[in-house]
Amino acid sequence: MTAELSTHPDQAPLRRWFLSSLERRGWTLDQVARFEGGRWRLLDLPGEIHAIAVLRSFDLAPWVRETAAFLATLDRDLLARWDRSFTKTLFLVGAPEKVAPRYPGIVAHRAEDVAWVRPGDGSAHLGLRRLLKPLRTGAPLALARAVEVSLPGPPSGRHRRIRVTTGEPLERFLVHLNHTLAEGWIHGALGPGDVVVVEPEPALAGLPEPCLGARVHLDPGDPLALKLYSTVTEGSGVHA
Amino acid sequence: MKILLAPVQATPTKPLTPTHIKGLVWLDTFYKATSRLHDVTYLSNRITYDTTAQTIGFWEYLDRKFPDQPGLYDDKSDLWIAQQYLRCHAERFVPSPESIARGRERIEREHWIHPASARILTIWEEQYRRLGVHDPGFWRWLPLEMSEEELYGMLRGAGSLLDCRSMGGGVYLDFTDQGAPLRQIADEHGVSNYIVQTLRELIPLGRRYDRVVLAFDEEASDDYNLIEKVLIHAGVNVHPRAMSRVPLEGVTGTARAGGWERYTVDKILARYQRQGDAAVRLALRLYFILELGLRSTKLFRLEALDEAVAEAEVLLARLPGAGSSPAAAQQFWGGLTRRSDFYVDPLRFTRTVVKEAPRAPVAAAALREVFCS
Repeated sequence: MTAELSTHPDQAPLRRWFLSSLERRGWTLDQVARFEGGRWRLLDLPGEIHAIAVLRSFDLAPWVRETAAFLATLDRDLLARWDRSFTKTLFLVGAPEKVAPRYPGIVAHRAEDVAWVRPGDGSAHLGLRRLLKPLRTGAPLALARAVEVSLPGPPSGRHRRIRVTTGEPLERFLVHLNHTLAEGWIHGALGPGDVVVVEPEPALAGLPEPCLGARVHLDPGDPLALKLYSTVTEGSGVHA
Repeated sequence: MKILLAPVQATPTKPLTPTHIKGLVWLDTFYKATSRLHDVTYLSNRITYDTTAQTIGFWEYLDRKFPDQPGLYDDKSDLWIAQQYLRCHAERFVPSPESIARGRERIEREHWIHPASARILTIWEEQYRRLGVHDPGFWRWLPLEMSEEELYGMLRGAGSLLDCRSMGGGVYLDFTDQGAPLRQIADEHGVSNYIVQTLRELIPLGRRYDRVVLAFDEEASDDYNLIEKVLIHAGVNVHPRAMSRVPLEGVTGTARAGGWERYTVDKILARYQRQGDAAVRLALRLYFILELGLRSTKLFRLEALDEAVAEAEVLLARLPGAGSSPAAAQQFWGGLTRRSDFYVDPLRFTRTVVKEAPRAPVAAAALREVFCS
C-alpha cells in the first residue's frame, strides 16, 4: 500500500531507493508504517532491537572512527538482525567511564567521549535507559568543515565520500549519520581500513549515480514526500 | 553550636494550605526550641526560590496578560492571584529562555519582586502572625556567593558533573556510578533549575555552620538526596529532613492543578475567629505536629482540627502561672534533647510540654513561649 507516498516524478528515484531498502530487509511499507491523520506513523517492529550510543560530547571525526570501531565488534548475525530493525539507535547523554563498568555485558565499545551498547531489545537496556537521559540540544548543528577519517583496521585502499545533511539539532544529525555508517558497513559500502571523507551539507539535490549507500526517509516538511539525508559514493582519495 | 535551618520556601504564587502549615509549625518549633540551646539561623532568601523558571514564568505570564496596570494587585486576594497561576499552567505557558535570564538578572541584581507576589507576601505576613510562626525574613535578598560556573567547576572536580554544553546539550548531576539516574540541572538553552540555585546558596553558606538542617518536600526526595551528596562532598555537615505533604480530600497530584481552594489558611483561620489566637496556635501544633507528624500521609480533616482547638482551650485553661526557677528551666530544656540529637525535635518537644504543662510551670512557660507567642 504505497498510495500515500508522493508520485511526483522528482520523487521517483528516492521512492525506488526507499521501497527497495524495505524489501531488502524483508519488509513492506504497510508493515513498517501507517498513514494516519495525514501523516506517516512508524510502527513498532516485531523482534525489534536497537543499539545505544552514550555520549558526553561530539566531534565529527572521532565519532565516525569510534562508530566503525563499534561496528567491527558486532558479529554477522547480530548485524543482520539489527539491519532488519533499520539499525535503530538511541542517543543518550552519559559519562562513558561511569557507564561502561556498570554494564560490562552490553557495552561493546568505549572511547573517551562515547560508549556503544550492542543492539538488544528493550528489556536488555532497561536499566541503562533509566539511568541516562536522551540527548537533547538547543540550536541546529552548524558543521561547516569536511573531515577525513581512516576507519580502524588495516588500510583497505578504498576511498569513500559521505555527504550528510546538517542544519538540524545534533540528535537528528546523528540519526542520519548513524544509519549511513551502520547500513554502509553492513551492506559493504564501508569497511575496515577505508579512508572516508564526511562532508556536512545544508541539503542534497538528488541520488548520485553510482550510489553505494544513501539514507532516504520521510520528509518532516511534507507528509507525502521522501527526503535524501545522506549519500555514500566512491571517493577520489583527494581531500581538499 | 551554630545551626543553619534551611527549609525549601513556598513560592509566593498561591495561598498557603495545610501542607505549608505543617511545615511552618514544625520549622517554627524547631527554631524556637533549639534556639534555647544553640545559635540557630533560620534561612530565608528571596533570590533562591524567586529565580526558579516556574516563578519567573508566572510573573511574565501576568505581565503579558495585564500589561501596564499599576496598582492592579494592591487589593487582590491570594486566591485571585492563584487563579491566574492555575490558568498559567492550564494554558501551558512556557517562558522563553531569554525572559528567564532577564528575570533572574533583575532579581539577583535589583532585588526585584513582581507586585503580585509582593501582594501575597503582605498577606502571608498577617497569616504568619495569626499562626504564631516566626517570620524568617520575607523581604530578604541574600546574594548567592557562588556563581553557576563556580558550582559547575566544583562539581566537575568532584567527578559529579556531566556537562554537555559543548555539543549544545544540558548540564547534569552525575551520580550514575552510584546507581542514581542523571539529573538535569541546566537545560539545552542554558537555563539552570532550582537545584543549581540551592547549591549556589548552601555550599558557601553551609560551610560556615556546624550543622545544616535541610527541610524539604518528601516528593522531591530524589533531588534532595543528590543535593545532600554534593553538600557532603563540599564539606557541609548536612542533615536532611523530608516532610510529607498533607493530603486533601478530592485533591490529587500537583498544587498547580488546584482543588485546594477550600483549604487555604485564610479559610481555616476564619473557622476559628471566635477562639483566641493562643488556642488556635496551640491547636495547630497539636494537630500538625502531634497528630499528623513529619511523614504521615493521613488525610487533612477539619473536624480533627476542631477537636484540637477544643483540646487546646482546655489545656490552656489548666496551665499553671509563672513560678519556675532558672535552674528548673535549665534542667527542663537540657532534658529535651536526646544524646544522639543536636536539636530539639519538634515532636518530642510537643509531646513533652503537652504532657507536663498542666503540672510543671516550667513546661507551661515553654509551651507558651514556643507555641503561643
